Amino acid sequence: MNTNKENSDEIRKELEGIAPRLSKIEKVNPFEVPDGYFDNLPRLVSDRINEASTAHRAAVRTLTFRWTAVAASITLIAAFAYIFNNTAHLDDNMDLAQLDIEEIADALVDEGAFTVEEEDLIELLIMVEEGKQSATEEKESDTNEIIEYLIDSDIDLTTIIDELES
Amino acid sequence: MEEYSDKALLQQFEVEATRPHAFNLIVKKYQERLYWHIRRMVVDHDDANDVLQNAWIKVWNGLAKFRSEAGLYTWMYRIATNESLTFLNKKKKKFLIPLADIENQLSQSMEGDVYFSGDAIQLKLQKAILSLPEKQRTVFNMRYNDEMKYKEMSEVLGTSVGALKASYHHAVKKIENFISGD
Repeated sequence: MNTNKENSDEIRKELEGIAPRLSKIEKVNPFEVPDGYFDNLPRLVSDRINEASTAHRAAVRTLTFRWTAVAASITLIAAFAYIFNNTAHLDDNMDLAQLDIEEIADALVDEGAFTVEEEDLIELLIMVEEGKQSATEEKESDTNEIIEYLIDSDIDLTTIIDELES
Repeated sequence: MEEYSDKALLQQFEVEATRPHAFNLIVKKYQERLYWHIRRMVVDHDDANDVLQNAWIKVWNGLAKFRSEAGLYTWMYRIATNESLTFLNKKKKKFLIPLADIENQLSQSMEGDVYFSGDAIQLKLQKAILSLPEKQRTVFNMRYNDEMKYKEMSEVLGTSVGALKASYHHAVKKIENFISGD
């Protein structure tokens, strides 16, 4: 890409036409680098690439874990909602806000919540587990695409990881 | 050191076993040209070093998909240019520096820079270049220092040749006025 003589001459003539003073200033590079900088740079670049690859893999793992955790939380909430909807036999006057978890569990057992619907519950858990596995595989693929996009779009990967871990 | 053609290096890069070696050769082949381009934009050596390393990581990540008609160096030059501009913008935001003041700061830092060896005329010229708006400065450096053709500049910056000629003309006029002052 760089200069051939013809191109250099063209640029010089163009410059003389627009800026005679500037064209008379000798073209020198006034900047310097530390001794041995260019000898060491390829190794530094190689190290940085290895670090970036490790960070990339860590980000994929973190994002995958987060998505799985979100999916599991939603599943848990759905399961609780399902159980409560099908066991609405608690005392209408009982104030749930004043009960702790053990008391709620005792009340559910007393009302026969788990004996009546045990098979349904097992079936539900199997379905949830299967769904979770397939969602995880899907999310892992999506996550890789997201990471590629973020890297290509010049979004600082380390900042993203920090944000996710905070 | 034997210098391979870009084509040969890209072929080596496609093979997983020779990829790191091929990339190392690409870095060695182009590191100085890319460094000086970045250095002229960000001025400080440490900043240039950071920007250059980030640019090489981008090159590594994108090289497997590289299919540009423009050529390997033009593509890498574009990455280096974008990285430099992104760095300068981040610096402005990070330190809440008004847009016009970053060039003043760079200009001042150059005077005390141990890695700046230019004489008074060179210092004045570099200050004049730094007084230009970012895009104009980029265009000026590409033409004046890297002696690129307008067509190549157009491929790097995605700007029409006509607009680049006008931009270079304005930049040169401003620098001429700056160095003619006093």
